[in-house]
This record gives sequence, C-alpha cells and structure tokens, in this order.
Amino acid sequence: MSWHDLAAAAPETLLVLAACAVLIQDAWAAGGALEAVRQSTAATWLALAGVCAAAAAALWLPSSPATPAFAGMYVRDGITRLADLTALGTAGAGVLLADPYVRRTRLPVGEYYALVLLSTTGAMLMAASRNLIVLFVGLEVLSLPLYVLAALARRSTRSQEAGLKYLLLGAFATAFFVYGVALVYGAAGTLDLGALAGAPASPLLGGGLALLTIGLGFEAAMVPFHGWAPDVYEGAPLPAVAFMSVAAKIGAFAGLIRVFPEAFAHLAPTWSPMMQALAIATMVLGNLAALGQTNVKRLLAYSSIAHAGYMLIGVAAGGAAGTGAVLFYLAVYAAMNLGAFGVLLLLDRRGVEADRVDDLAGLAARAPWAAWTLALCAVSLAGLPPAGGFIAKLYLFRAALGAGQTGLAVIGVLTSVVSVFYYMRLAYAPFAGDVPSDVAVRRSAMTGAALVLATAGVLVYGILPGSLTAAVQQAAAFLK
Amino acid sequence: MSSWALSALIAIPVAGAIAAGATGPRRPAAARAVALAAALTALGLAAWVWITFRPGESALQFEERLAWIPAAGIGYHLGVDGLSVSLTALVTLLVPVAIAASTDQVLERARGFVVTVLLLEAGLLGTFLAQDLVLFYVFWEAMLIPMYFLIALWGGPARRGAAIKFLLYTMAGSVLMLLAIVAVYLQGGRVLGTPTFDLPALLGRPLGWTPAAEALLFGAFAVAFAIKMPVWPLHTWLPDAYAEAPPVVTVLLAGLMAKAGAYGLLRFCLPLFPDAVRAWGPLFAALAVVGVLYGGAVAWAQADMRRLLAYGSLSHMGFILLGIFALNVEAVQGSVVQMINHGVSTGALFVLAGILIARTGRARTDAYGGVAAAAPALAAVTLIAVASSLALPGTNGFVGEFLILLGAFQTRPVYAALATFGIVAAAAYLLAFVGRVFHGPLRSELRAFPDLRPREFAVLAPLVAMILWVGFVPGPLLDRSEATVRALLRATAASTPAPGTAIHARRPGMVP
Repeated sequence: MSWHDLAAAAPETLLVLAACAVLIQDAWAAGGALEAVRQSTAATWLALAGVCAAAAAALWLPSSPATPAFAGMYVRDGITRLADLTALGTAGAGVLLADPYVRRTRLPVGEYYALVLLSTTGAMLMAASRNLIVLFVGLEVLSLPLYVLAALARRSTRSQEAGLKYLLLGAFATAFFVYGVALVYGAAGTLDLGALAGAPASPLLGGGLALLTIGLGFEAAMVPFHGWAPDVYEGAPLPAVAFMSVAAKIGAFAGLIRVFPEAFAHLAPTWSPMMQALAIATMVLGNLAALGQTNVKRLLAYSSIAHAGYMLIGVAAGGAAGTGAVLFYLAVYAAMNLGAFGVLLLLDRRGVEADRVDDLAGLAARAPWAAWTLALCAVSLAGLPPAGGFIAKLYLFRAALGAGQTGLAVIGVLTSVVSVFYYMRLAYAPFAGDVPSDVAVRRSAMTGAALVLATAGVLVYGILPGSLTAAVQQAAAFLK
Repeated sequence: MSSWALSALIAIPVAGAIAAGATGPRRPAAARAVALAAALTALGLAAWVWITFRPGESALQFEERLAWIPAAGIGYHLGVDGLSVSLTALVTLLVPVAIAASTDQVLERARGFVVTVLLLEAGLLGTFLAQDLVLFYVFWEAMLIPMYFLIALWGGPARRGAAIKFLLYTMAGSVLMLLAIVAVYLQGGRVLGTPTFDLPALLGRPLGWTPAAEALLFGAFAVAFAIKMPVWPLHTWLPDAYAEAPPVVTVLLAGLMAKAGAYGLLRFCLPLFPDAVRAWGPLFAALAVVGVLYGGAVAWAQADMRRLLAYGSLSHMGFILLGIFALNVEAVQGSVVQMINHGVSTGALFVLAGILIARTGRARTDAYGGVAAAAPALAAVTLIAVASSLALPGTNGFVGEFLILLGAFQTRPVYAALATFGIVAAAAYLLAFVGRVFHGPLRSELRAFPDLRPREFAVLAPLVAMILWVGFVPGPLLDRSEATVRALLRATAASTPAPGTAIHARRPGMVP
C-alpha cells in the first residue's frame, strides 16, 4: 500500500474519517447519556462537510485514464467517479432530509449519520472494485449499516421487525454471494475481474455467476429476491428508507456493471437471457404490485422494485450503451426518489409518520411547492417528459433495441404505462380532497434544501441532460 | 429569417404560466388577466409568423437548430412549413378563447386552471413545431400531464376515471411510438453513418426498410396518432373525456389535441414509411368511413349535448383521416384545411355548450326548449357554428369537406360515397340539437335565460369571423399548405425517393 493507493481511494477514506468524527463528536456531546437531551446540529454539519470533502475529492481525482490502485484490486475510472458522485449526492440529500426527522423523533443523531456515511462508502467501494473480494467487502459495508438504520427506531416494533427481516434475509443473500465468489474462484482460479475477462465458460463458472446475481439482486430488490423490500420500507424510519432505496441500488448496480458487462462481457450470451428474464419479472411484478398500494412507503417500495427492473434492461443490453444508460438512470433515480420521499417527510401525524396516500390530500393548499415537487417527481418516476425519468428510460430502451432485445423494450414501455396509473395517484393526491385534521406540515430549511436539490436534479436531467449524457458515454466508452 | 420566433412562441406561454402562478392565491382575476395577456401575446406572434410565412415554399421556415444532447444525436430543431403554420396559429387562437371563456365557466382554483392551460399550450405548440423526433415526443407526452390535471381536477363527477382512462389510453399508444422512434434512429445510424433523431436528416435518404419492419414501425406510429385523433375503434376514451372535462377544456381537447394526431400522420408516417402508407391506406380509409358513419349515428342517439358533440367530433375526424389516406393533393389539402376548420367550429360549439351548461347546470338537450326566444343572439351564433360543422357552402367546413370528398372520389370512390352519408348524419344530429335546445315552446323556467353577454360575444366573435372568412376567402389558408402537401405527396408516391427529392432534404452544410 502506498500513498498513491490512499490518494486514489481518498473519497472513501474521507467519508470514513467523517463517520468516525461524527461518532466521536456525538459521544462527546452526549456526555455518557444514551440519548442526548439537547440535540445540536453539529453532527449534521460534520456529516455534510464529510460528504462535500469526499465529493470534491471524487471530482478532483483523475478518472481518465483509469487509475488502478491496491495492486489492481481497486480502480478509479469514469464509472467509479459517476457512481461516487451519485452516491455522495444521495448521502448529502439523505443527511439533509433526515435532520428534522431524527431530532423530532429522538433517534440517535451521531449513529444515524455515521451509518449513512459508512453505507455510502460501501456503495462507492463496490463501484470501484476490480476484485470480487473488494466487491464483497463493499457489499457488506453497504448493507450492514442499512440493517442498523432500518432498526434504529428502538421504540418502534415496526422498525425492529424491519431491521430483523432485513438482517436475516440480507445475511442469507450475502452467503449466496460468497458462495458464488468461491465457485468463480474454483472455475477460473482468480478473483481479479480483469483476469476473469478471459475465463472460459464452464458450468461451475455459470453457477458462480448465478449466485453472484442472487447476492446483488437482493440488494437491488430484483424479483424474485425482493420479498424484503415492502416490509422493510414500511417499517423502517422514513429518512432511512429514502436513503436506502437509492444507496442500495447504486451499490448493487455498480457491482452488476463491474461483474457482468465489464468482466464477463465475453459470456454475454450466457448471462444476458437470465438478466432479461429477471428484468421482465421485476418490471411486471413490481409495477402490478404497486397498483393496489394505499401506503406511500409500500407503494414506493414496489416502485423501487420496478425501477430495479428498468435498470436491469441496461445490464442485460450490456456494452457502452447499456452501461451508460444504467449510470444515467441511477443519477436520475436518486434525484426523483429522494424528492418523492422528501415531500413525505414534511408530513407528520402527532409524532408518527403520515404515510398513507390519503394523508397527502389538500397538500397543495398548505404547501404548494411541496405538492408541485411531488407531482414532478411522480411524473419523472413514471418516465414522462419533461422530467429526467423520460430521458433515462429513453437511453435504456435505446440500449435494449440496439442490442436486439426488442421484447424486453416492449415489456419495459408497457409496464411504464401501468406505472403511470399509480404515480398519477400520487401526483393527483395533493391537489384534491380535504386536509386530514391530524396531519401537520413540518417545514424545515434542511428538508427544503434537499427538495430544491432533488427538483433541480429532475429538471436539469430532463431539460438539459447534455453534459451528464456526455459524461456517462465517456465513462462507459471503454466497454464494447 | 428571424430565428427566435418559434422558441419565443413556446416560451411565452411558459413565462405566462409562471407569471400567472406568481399572482397569489387570492386574486384569481389577476391570474386570469396575466394568462390572457400571455396567450394574446402568443397569438400576436403566431399571427405575425403566419402572415410573413412565404407560401409556395415547401421547405421549413423560421428554422431554429441548436445542439441539445449532441452525445445522443438529439437536437433542438424547430421549424414551420405548410403543415404546421396554420395549426400553430390555431393553437394560439383557441387558447385565449378558452381562457376567456373560463372566466364564467371555471370558478374554482382559477389560478391553477389558467397556469395548466398555458403549460398545455406550450406542449401543443412544441408538438407542431418540433423537427426532431425526440423533441417532438417530449412535447407530445408533456402535453398529456396538463391535460390529465385539467380533466382530473376541474371535470365533472366521474372526472378521475375519465382522466386516467384518457392518460393510460394515449400513453399506451405513444410508448410504442417511442420504441419505433428509437428503431428509426438506429436504422438511420446504419444508413446515414451518424445516428440522429433529426427528421429532415432522416428523410434525406431512404432508410432501406424491409417491408415487415416498415409495416411494424408504421403501425407503432399510426396507432399512437390514431388514438389521439381518435380513429374508430380506438376512440373509447373520447366520450368520457370530452363529457367529463369542463367544456372549455374540451375545446382544447377536440379543437387542438385531436389535430396533433392527424398532424403526426402527415408529418411522420407519410414521409418516413411511404410504402407502408400505401399498403395500409385502404384499411385506414375503411376505418375512417366507419368512424364517420359510426360517430354520426351514435351522436344522433345522445341526449347529453357534450356527448353528442363528442361523437360528432369523432365523425368529423373520420373525414380528415379519409382525406389523408386518399393520398392526392386535393384530399390532403382538404384535410389540412379541415383540421383548422374543425378546430374552429368544434371549439365554438363546445364554448356554446359551456355557456348553456353554465347558465342552467343542464347537459341534456331535452332539458331545454325554445331558448331562441329568450336568447336570439346565442341561437344565431350557434346556428353559424352548426352550419360550419354541417359543411354548408359559405362556411369554412364546406371548403374542407368538399376538397376531401373531391380528392377521395378520385382514388377511393366507394369510401368517398359512403362518407357522404356522414354529412347527412351530421345534419340529423346537429339540427336535432338545435331544434331541441333553441326551438319549440320556451320552457317556463327558462324565461329568464340571459342572452349572450358582451364578454361571451367577444369570445365567440373571432371564431365566427374565422368560419365566415375561410368560407368565403379560403385562398390564403390553402396557399400556405399547398407547396408542402405537394412535396409530401411526391415523396410518398416514390417508394424510394432519391436524395434531395424528399421534403426538407438536408441542405449542404446543415449537418446536425
């Protein structure tokens, strides 16, 4: 390990340091009490500073040509950089969104932000991995903090249940992943993704790839490994759900990109049909199950499953077009999903989350900007112009048609039509009906800032997507 | 040629929407005034574009071209030609009419209403002006969202169902068109070397389709447009949407949005897939005739005046479809002109229906009777609009439908002969409507029925003027579209057009 290695991994390093600083500051401020009586904003600002420092490092470090580090186990290239920036944006918005909620509900502030930062580090590490062991370490660093975040509301049995479910199923999925790593090693004799690029096809390798898919597919909430998502989303604290719904996707899809379109591009005829089948199952089931939901958290859980299906289209198509489309989609998804959750975070029913669709009624009269933001994010999630979701889907479908996967593209667009039904329910709700008497709107500058960022993201990616398009093309250009 | 007019045309409604939105929730009159001012400004600019448009040229005018997403071959390319110049003007004419008419007809949440209408106007204008496939699709889909909210928030009792039905139906058609657009782009990349979504660039050279691929892609485009028009049997969203939307919104739905479908057929299907258009033309002509007769027959049976006018509108759109697929200059010219005429006359009829419903709260025609005695001016204006819809000589409707039938008789005489019965049906249902509402003994509870107010007259006057002006002096309107229609039909007739003969062939040095 040299200074060069540490410098290449500076974003991750800075984030871990920030997490430690947040924890120490918290312990110091609490002065030994389990729950601080007066919660200051110092932890929030410290976490935000860490995110900004890591983002600055990710922007400043050269990513072209690709810089390998740690004996080729880690790489900093265009994909790393874009995934890092998306993950850091998610972390920043996640911290801003969480601040008022965490203080209102007396969650442990320091732990909350430290876990968010560590989880983000894991997602970034997955995006930077050139070795299956590093990918596994990244997956663990991503998911362990998420289990804790889901269970962080100690007095809520729903939250405890969500955390336990997530942990048990997640551990199970991770075991599959490790077993897959072992099979791949047995078949090819190496764990280096660069060296695996020439591995000949064999049943053992095929089995290994299938098991790797299970591990990553669980984190991405792909059907049939999605069973945890609705329950965990419904039970976990709302800001934690907002963060995990995006962070887990970033890590999982960065990992899928590193393994499938990049390392095993030569075996595409083997794994692409599997990915297509998973994509179809995920899109169809996610969208159909979302239709009947009356709880916004559950609705958005199924919606996030459906979006995993859309992103899988890009993985199945592979190549520069498919990979670039996935990277673009992740950035847009982060903005629109955080925006939708952010509006929900404004509502409060006497200290409990107001998370039914009916609770949104009449929001337009009380907080017009929030209502417009929700409508915009719902339109974007549905993939309609002029929001970013449309351009993101356009690129995915272009990749699928370019790879000759017409059936996949047709199912993708038809399920998008299905999704319009429930997203429009979400967009319509704030503009109609009477205000529920027990739901209050809790304004806060931090939530407002996060919503402004999310709205700007959705609009910029939709109306002026030129620079991001060029960036993802450049990042994925080395893939055939 | 000034290269900002069309962008300004799209930007004015958006700016107007923002300004109207900023007026504050307690001053609906201010919001209406700001919105009306913006819509009238757009009308002025569109009128200037229409007047300075050079007839006799088939190429695009007022062209604007900017790199939008160069990495993906998507450009910001606007332009007008004979197909779109009058439709653009029609959009800017009907929107202020709708905003002004809404003063008496939409009383709740007036600010949100005018903001949404202006956003819809921007989407409509963009749809008619875009010359890049993705840009077109962006505007095409973007106008769905305001329309969904206009129906879902300001409509009648069953508005939510009607709105979501409208949205899902039209979305289902257009997403397949999106895939077809991408397929055209990929094929264009193979043939042209540089992948692009730019329509003139794609038309510059034959794309070398296999017949099966061409038929499939033509189908994807045509179904999207047919749903929007709508074409029988894809019309089932129409009666609910037209009847549940507030009448001023139906003015925009029937008068403008339906035209986007017919326009799409002319703009995209004919030049991109000429062989498929010729092969599938008879089917579309047959569907058009079925639509004409079915719409007319069902309209006759309706008691609700909005549903009557909705099915009547379906019948008239059938004429326009018949004209397009007759594929000769007279018929296509008739269709292009009839799009404008139908927008004006249907717009006027729905505004009048809105006035009647706003005064009495009654939508059934048999709940009226003898209104002409109490409101002679209203009856007179209605009669003019009905005459236009019946295609009586001296009104604009005559010019359009006569040309369509004249052209269609040359290429598809049987269909044309059958379609003439549609005019008979129109006479039956429209005169029955006039008879039930305006004639007969005046009902006692309608004795105090107020006649047209000055404001309502001001709203209707431009439409009546258009009906008579185009009826007596159709020349300027026909001149503007003729060159483009001729070039379009030349390109469609030659199955493999040589480079340069297709309309808007890419000029040297204009590589996108």
